[in-house]
Amino acid sequence: MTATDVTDDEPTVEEAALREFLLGLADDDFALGHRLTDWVGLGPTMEEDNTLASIAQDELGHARLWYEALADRGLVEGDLDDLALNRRPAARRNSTLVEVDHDDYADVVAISLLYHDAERRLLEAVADGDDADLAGRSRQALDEEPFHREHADLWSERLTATDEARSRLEAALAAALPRTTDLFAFPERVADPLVEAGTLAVDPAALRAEWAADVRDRLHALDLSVGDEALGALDAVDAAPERNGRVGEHTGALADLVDQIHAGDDVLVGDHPVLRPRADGGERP
Amino acid sequence: MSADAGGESAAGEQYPHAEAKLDAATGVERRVWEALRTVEDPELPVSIVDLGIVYAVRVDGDDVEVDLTLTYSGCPARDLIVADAEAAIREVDAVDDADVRVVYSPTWGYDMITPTGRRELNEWGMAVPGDAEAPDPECRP
Repeated sequence: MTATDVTDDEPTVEEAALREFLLGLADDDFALGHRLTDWVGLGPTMEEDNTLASIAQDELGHARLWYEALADRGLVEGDLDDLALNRRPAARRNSTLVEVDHDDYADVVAISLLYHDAERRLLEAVADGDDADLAGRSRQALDEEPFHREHADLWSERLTATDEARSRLEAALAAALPRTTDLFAFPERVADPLVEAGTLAVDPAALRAEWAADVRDRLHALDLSVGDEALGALDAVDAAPERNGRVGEHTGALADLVDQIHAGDDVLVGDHPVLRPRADGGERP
Repeated sequence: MSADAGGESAAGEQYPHAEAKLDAATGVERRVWEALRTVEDPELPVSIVDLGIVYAVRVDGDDVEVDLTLTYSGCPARDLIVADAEAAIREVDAVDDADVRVVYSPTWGYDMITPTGRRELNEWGMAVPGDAEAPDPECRP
């Protein structure tokens, strides 16, 4: 039994859809938050180090918000530690955009520039929906997100100040853009029942074109050249992604991330979140 | 809007200040509010009631249910606050079981802090908006 197996009877179509969608939101925040914690102590300036730690904490907090909603509704098995730490890559529903390792500081800026605006649109779809509990959670997250977008805007502008910084940001964007095609690519079996039920005020797929146009405007405003191939990812608003994290298709980077979390399993002792005894007495997967 | 009576949350919902809720409560419910007022935020010596994060107290026989929120969702002190609140409630005579639920609606904001909380936070150097005595957040002399 894995942490994402459903606990009771067969879930309804709507329950199964909600589970997949909320895992998408939660796993996005967890993967990005986890990657950002790698910068703690390594940020380019002291202020920036603090900022990235703060954003990482926000993202991990938002992951908790959604994992908790899943657990409260009995849509998943396991506690918060299991959901965040003890799930195999194929069980995760995050976009491939946020799972990769950050080789360069420009990767943080590029991924942030592309991700936070997409996240805002998905959260607004829930905040404007009919499920009061989920809408409240979305509003809480939305309240905390504006400075993440300001941070991405500020640094993307700053990284155009020198040729060296500009070329590194352009390379990071060119690498990240093809991985954005799954951001809104929740399959019909997930999107349709949630739109039908009113939980989502809008079909995620319908948000993609507007998001892509905004990204294009931002790249244009900063005169960033990312190459036609990368730009193609913004054009193909209706095309199915080559690899769709929303259905569990991930890059090796996510396996590395999960392996890293469990690298010390044999030597970990005591109250470590990977092995801490579960409150309900259940077994860790 | 009056600072004592309450305000409007970010979501536009009207709510009374925790102090007003405490004053209006009677019996066991009153004693639970008073017990919660002794619980401090682990990061600052200010009561969770005065921070405005306690939203509701419900008493059903000897069972007590409390709704509280966090000042931000990544709050690392969450489990401590919940455990401290439950322990404080169980100290109240006539209470058998305490269940503290973390809720996210309405969204917490500065205007949920009680006048007492504002004063205390300002004494600790936090520039809480809406208080004449607050330090200038722009740090002008």
